[in-house]
Amino acid sequence: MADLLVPAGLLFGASLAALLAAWRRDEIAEAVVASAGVVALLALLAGERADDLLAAWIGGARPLEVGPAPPTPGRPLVGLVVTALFSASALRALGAASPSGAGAAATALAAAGASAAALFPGVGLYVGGALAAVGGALAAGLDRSPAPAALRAAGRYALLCLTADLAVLAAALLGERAPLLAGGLALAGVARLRLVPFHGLPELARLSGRAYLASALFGGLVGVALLGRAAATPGPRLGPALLAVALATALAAALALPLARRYRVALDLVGLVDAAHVAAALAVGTPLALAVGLLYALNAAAARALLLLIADAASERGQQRRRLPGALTLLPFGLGFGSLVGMPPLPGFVARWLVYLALLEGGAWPLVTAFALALAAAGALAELLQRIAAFGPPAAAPRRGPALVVGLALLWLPLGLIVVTPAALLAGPLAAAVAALRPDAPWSLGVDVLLSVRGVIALLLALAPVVLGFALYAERELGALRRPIGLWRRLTRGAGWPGLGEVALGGLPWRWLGLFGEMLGSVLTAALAPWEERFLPAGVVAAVLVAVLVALG
Amino acid sequence: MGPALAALSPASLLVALLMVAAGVLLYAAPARRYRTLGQVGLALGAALAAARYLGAGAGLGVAGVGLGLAWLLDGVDAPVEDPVGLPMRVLLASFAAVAASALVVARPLGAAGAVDANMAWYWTAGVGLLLLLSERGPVAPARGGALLVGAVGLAAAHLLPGPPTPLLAASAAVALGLALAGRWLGAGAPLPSSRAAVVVDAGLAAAVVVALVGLASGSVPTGDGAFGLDPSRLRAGVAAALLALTIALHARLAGLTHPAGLAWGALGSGLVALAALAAPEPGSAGVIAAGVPLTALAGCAGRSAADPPGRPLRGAAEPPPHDAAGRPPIDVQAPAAPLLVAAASAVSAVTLALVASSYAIEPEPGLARVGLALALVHAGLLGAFPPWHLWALGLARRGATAGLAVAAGIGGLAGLSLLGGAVEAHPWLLGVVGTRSLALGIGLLGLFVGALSALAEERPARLALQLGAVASGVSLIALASDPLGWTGAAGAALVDRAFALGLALVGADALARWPADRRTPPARRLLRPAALPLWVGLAGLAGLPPTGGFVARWLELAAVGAERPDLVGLALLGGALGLLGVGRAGDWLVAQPVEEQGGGERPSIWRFAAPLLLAALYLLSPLYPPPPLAAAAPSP
Repeated sequence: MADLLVPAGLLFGASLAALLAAWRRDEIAEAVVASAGVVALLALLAGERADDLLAAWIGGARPLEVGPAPPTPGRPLVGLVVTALFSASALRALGAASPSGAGAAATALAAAGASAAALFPGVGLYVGGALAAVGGALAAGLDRSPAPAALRAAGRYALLCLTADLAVLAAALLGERAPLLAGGLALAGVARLRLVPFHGLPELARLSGRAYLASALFGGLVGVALLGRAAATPGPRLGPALLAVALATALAAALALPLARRYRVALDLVGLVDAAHVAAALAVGTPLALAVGLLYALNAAAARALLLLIADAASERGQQRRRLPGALTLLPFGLGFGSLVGMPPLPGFVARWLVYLALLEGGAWPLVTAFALALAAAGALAELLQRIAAFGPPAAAPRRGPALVVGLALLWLPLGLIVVTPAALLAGPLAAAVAALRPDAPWSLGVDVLLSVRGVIALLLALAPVVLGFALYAERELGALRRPIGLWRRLTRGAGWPGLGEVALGGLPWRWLGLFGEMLGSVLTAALAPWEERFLPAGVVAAVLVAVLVALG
Repeated sequence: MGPALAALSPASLLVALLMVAAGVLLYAAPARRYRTLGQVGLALGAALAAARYLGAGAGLGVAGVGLGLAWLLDGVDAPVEDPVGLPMRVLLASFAAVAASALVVARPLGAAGAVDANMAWYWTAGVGLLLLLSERGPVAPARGGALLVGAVGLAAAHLLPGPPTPLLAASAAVALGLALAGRWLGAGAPLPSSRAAVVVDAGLAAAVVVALVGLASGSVPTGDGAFGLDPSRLRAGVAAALLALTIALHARLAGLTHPAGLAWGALGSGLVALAALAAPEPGSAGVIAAGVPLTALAGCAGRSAADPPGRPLRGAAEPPPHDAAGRPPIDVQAPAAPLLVAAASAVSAVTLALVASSYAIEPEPGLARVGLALALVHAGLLGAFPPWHLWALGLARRGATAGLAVAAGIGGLAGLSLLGGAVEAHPWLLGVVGTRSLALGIGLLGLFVGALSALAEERPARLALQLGAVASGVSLIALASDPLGWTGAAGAALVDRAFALGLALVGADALARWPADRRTPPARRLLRPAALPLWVGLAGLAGLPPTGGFVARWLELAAVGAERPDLVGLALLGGALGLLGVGRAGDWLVAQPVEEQGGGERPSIWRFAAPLLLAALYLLSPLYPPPPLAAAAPSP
C-alpha cells in the first residue's frame, strides 16, 4: 500500500485543487488545478502500480481483461498527448480568456478519464471512458453561458457514450469469445467517434472551444482507443463493417458540409471526415494501418484543439466570426489549419499520406475507400476555406495575442516541427503501442515502402484534397464537380425539399428510439398511477402473489 | 364437533364472546364513544386471555398496552362520511367473525381449549384488517395497523417458547407508535421549531454517534452471546447513521420553516436502524426496523409549507393547495402509506420470527415458504423494492421528498439489515424451493418497469425511485443467480443502493428548495452546481463511475456472468434504459437559462452543505473506505 500513497495523495490534491478552483474561480486556482492534475497523472503514469490502485479502488476484485494490455513503454503515449492538450487548455485560459475554475476542474476530469481509458486495460478502460464522458458533460454544463441546445447536445453525447460503453462491459462479462469482445469495443468506439449511424448532433459546435474539447474531442480519443483495441483483437475481422461505416460517415459529412452556415459547425463536420479516415485505417487492421491510424487521430486532435482554443480567444462563446488581430496569432492558426486539412509538409499531410498508403495495401475495397475519403477531404477543405474567408475584420483592441501564442505553444510547436513529429512518434511510442496490440505481426516503414508504386499513389491521393479543395474554393475549372454541390444546396435550401437539410445535418434518427421508450414509459406510468394512489390493494395483491409463488415453488 | 369444542370452558367462551361483541361494536359503529368502548372491550378480552394462560404479569402488560392504544386513538377520527354504511359494516364484521371462528375451531394453536387466546389474535387481526381495508384517512391505518401488530404480538407471546423476548416489547412499541402517529396526525401534526428543538437535535445526533461508535467498537452483544457484529451488517448501520446525520443537518440549513420534524424524524430513524442492527434476533430486529417509517412520518406528514413538491423535470409544477389561513393543508392520504408500511412490515417480521422459532431445525416446507415470503415482503416494503415501491412513488408525487429520503433510504438499510440477519440466523430460508425463480421474477420486473418508467419520469424524486427499482432489480437478479452472493456482491450493492437513493432524494429536496422563484441571476447561475448532489445520487443508482454504485453493479454483473451469462445482457439492457432516464435530469437543468450578468441577491450556498457533504462521502467511500467499511469490503 505504501507505494500507492503518493499517487493517491496527488489525486487527492488534485481534487482539493478542483474544489478550490470551483470556490475561488480565479487564475491561481486554475493553475493549481492544472498543475496538480498533470502531476498526478504523470505520477500515475510513471508508477508501476497504477493497476493496483484501480484494483484497490474497486475493492480488490479481479480486473476484467478487455483487449490486450500495452506494455509499459507504449503506455504513456496517448495519455501524455491528452495531458498536453489539457495543460495547454489551462495555460491558454490563463493567457487569453476569462477563467472558470469549475470548468477547468471538469476538463481535468475529462482529460484524466480519457488518459485512463487510453492507458489502462480492463475495467480501467471502461471507467476512464465513463469519466471522460461525465467530465465532458460537466465541463459543458459548467461553462459560462452555453446555448441550451448546445448543452442538450453535450448531454446527449455523454449519454450516448455511457450507454454504448455498456457494450464494452457486456463484451467483457459475457466470456472470452473474441467476436463478442471485438464487437462490443467497436460499437462503443463507433458511438464515441460519432460515426454512422451515430453521427449528427451539430449543436455540439455551439459549445465553447474548451467545452467541445472536453466533451467531443476527448470522447473521440477514447473512441480511437476502443476501435484500436477492437481492430487488434484476434478472431473474425470487423474490417468490412468498419470500412462501410467509414465510407458512410465520409458521405454523410460531405452531404452536411455544404449546409453548414457557421465556421464552428464546419469544423465539427471536418472532424467527421477525420474520424472516417481513422476508422478506415483501423479497419484494415495491419500493424502499419494501426500505427498510422493512431498517428492521424493524434494529429487531428491536436490541430482541432488548437483551432478551437483560438476560436475561444476570438469570442466568449468560441464562435469565431472575426480574424484575430496581429500577425503573431497567424502562426498557431496557420499551423493548426494546415495540419488539419493536410497541407504539405505539415504532420497532417504525412499522416494522411500514410493512411492512404495503408489503405492501398489493404486490398480493393480499401482502395475505393481511399478515393472516397480523399474526395470528402477536398470538399471539407473547400467548405472550411469559405467559412474562414467570411471572417470579419479583427476587433480593434488586440486580445493578448502574445499570451495566446505562448499559452498554445505545447500544441502548435509539435505541428510546426513538420515531419519530425510523425517520425518521432512512429519510431517511438506508436511502434511500441502497435507491438503491444499486434505482437505477432512485425512491420516496418522505410523509404522503399514510401517510394513504392503504392506509396507514390498514396502521396498523390494525399495531395489531391489540397489541390482540389483550393480549386473548388476558387471556383475555377471544376464546373463538373461544383454542379452537384450547387444542386445539393438548392435542394436543401429555399424552395427545395423541406426538411432535407435538417436530416442531412441532424443525422440518422437513432434518437427516436429514446422517444419510443419514453412513450412506452408514459403508458406504463399512466397504468400504474392509480395503484400508487391505492397502495394498500396493490401491496396486498403483491404480497399474496409472492406468497403464492413461493408456496407453489 | 371436534376436540377443541369439547374442551371448551365457560370462561373461555365468555371471554371470546366479549371480544367478538367488542370487535363488532368497534367496527360497525364509527362514532367516537362506541369505537373507544369497543377498543377497550377488545383490550380487556385480550388481557384476560393473556392472564389466563401466561400469568398475571402478562395480562397486566397486555391490558396496559391495550388501554394505551384506546387512549391514544380516542377521539382523533375526523367526522368523515361513512362510505361503507352500517349494514355493510355489520355484514363485513360477521364475515370476519365467522372466519375467525373457523380458524379457531379448525386449527387451535397452543392449548387445545384455549379458544379465547385463539380468538384474541385471529379476531383482533381480522378487525384490524377490516379497518385497514375499508376506511381512509390518517387514523385508519394507525388503528388498523396497531390492532394487527398487537394481534401478531399476542400470538407470539402465546406461541413462542421461553420467557417474553424483546420481540414482544418491540411489537408493543410499534403498536403504540402507530397509535401515537395516528393521534399526532389526527391532531394536525404540529411541528415544533424553536431553540429547544435544536438542543433536542444535538442530543439525538449525539445518541446516533454514540450508538454507532458502540456498535463499531463491538460493545453490543449479538444474538449468540458473542460481542461484535458482522461487518456487512455494520456497513448498513454506518450508512444509515451517516444518512440520518446529514438529513438532520440538511433540515437545519436548507431553509425549512419547520425543520424540527424532519430533523427528529431522520435522527430517530437512524437510532431505530441502529437499534434494529443491535437486536439479538431477527424477529425483534424486524419489528424495530418497522419503526423507521413511523419516525419518518415527521418528515413525510409535516406541513406542506416545509416540504414543497419538487419541480417537475418538464412542464409547470402544480401549486400546492392552501387552506383558508393561507397554509398548505396536510395531505391526509400521504401519511397513510408509511403507517401501512410500518404495520405490514412489523407483522411480516413477527410472523417470520414465529415460523423461524417453531421450525428452526427442520422447517415444515409450507411454513418455511411463507416465512421467506414474509421476509421478502418486509424488506421490500421498507426498502421500496419493486413492486412495493409504489407507496414511495405515490408519496413522491405529493412532494414529501426529504421525508421520503428518511423512509426509503434509512428504512431500506434497516430492512436490509433485518433480511441479512434473518438469512444468517436461518440459512434454510435460502434453500426454499422457488427462491431463485421468485427473486429473478421480481428482479426482472423491477428492472424493466423501473427503467421504462424512468424514461417518462418528470420529477427528480420519482426518477430516483425508479432508478432505485432498476438497481434493486439487478441485485435481485444477482441473488437469483447465486443466493450465497448475499454476503458478497448483492448485499453490499443493496446497501450502496439505499445510500445512493437517500442521497438522490436529499439532493432533489435541496434543489426543490432552491429559491429559483426569485429568478435572480446568482440563483440561476448556481442552479447547475446545486444539482450536483442529485446527479451524484442518480449516477450511483445508474451504476456509473466513479461512484460506489458502479463498483457494486460491476461486482454484481461479474457474479451473474459467472453463473448465468444469459442474464447479463438483460441486466445491461435494463441498465441502459435507466441511463437514458438520467439524461432527462440533465435536459431539465439545461432548460433553466443561466444569465451571465446582473444583480440580485445571492442565495446562501450553505443550503447545499449537507447534500454536498453526503455526495462527497458517497464518492470517497469506495476509494478510501473508513475502517468499518474496509472490513466489509467484498472479497475478490
